[in-house]
Amino acid sequence: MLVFLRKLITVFFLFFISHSVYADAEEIKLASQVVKDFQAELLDVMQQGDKLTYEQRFEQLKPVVLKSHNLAKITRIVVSKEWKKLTIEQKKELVRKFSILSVASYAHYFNSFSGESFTVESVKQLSPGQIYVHTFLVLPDEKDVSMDYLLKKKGDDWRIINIITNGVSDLALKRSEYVAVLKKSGFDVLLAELSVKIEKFSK
Amino acid sequence: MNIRFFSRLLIVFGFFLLAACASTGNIEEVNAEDPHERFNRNMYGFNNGVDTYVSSPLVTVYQWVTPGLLRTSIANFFTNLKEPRTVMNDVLQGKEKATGEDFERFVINTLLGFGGLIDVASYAEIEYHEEDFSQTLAVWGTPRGEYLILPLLGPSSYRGIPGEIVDAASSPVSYAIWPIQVLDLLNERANAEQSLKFIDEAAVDPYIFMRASYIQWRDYQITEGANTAENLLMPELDEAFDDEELELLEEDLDIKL
Repeated sequence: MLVFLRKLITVFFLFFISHSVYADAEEIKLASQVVKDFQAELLDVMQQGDKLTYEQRFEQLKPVVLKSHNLAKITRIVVSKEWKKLTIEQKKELVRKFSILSVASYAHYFNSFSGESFTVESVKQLSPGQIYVHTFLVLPDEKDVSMDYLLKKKGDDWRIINIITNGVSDLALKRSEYVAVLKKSGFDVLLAELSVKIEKFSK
Repeated sequence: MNIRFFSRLLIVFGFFLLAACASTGNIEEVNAEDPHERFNRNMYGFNNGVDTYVSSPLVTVYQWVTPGLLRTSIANFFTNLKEPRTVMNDVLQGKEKATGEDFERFVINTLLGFGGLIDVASYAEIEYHEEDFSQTLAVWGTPRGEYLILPLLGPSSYRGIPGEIVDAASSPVSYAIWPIQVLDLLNERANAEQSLKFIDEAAVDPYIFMRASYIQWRDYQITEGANTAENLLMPELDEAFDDEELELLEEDLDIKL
């Protein structure tokens, strides 16, 4: 009886472990696929080069950026404690403007192709709700650019929450800037600045 | 006499003079992240002015009179001249593999690349490293100290000041004739063109953008990329969010140009 119980516990334990390992592997696969799909779309836009106008690049990238990034949460994080001081209308407007800026920046910078490619180097689960995807943007004749993605779970989906390019965190950079502008000059000035950036990206 | 070495000494002297003047001003709220922000912002404005009215027009002329291929060769030449300094810092930091690779790069590019004009080592896939004395000081455990913007040289830190002096003293360009030194300055500014354009396009507050990105990028160089994990996990990520509110904000998100 004792032997049977021990075996039962062992089987149960092994099942539990293998199930959780399988679940983790599945989550890692799902999260890295989000990054791969997003990068594939970026490459596609780049490869089309001059065939696409800035507006067309914006329209092509819009759905994939909205699907792969958690833009509301990113906006919430980059304004840090200032978020609580904003009205619901201001929050709505900020998320909208920030989302346009995010898509616009991709449409502006990923506008031509000269043999670039992306490679996924490693994927790590940092905690049950956070996965880190380490990738490289491979540039011909230049040093590869390290691009690391942090993804957080939103419902059943994984969404990009931060991108670190050669050690520089986009989230930390924007948080430093946005919080300073909000504290010093207020919401309207920050919104106006974001509009100026969107305008610059269109040129 | 060499222009680069003495200009750097003058810059450092000028910095201390300006810092002394700045410290006698009105007492203002000090930003713990950047205690010299007032001075730094003034210096940032000064450097921008010099760049707009002096460096940028000179670089425009330089780019206009030199064909692209020649500019690439000039850039390769000066990068190769920095390799002995890189090797010295590799040794001081105890990086055996990098020492070998950088020494190899210097020998190959000097001998087979016509004195460094052609980057043969990159074709041979020998990795290029960027090392300077400020990084060596960091590896030895010297704390960064406060963030500073140096006159003409741009973003730096307390640790960066001895770094700049030793780098200038250990660079062969410092001992070259003045036209070579001027050409090096033009080449350096021309190489920075894309980064400056990026800051102008992307930054909401260019001063803060430069400070935040400079500090993170230097940490990335010093830690050989190990700072990435630290940067990923910002404390804000663990804050309790009102997910329902965020979902509502995203639900009727209508974005158009």
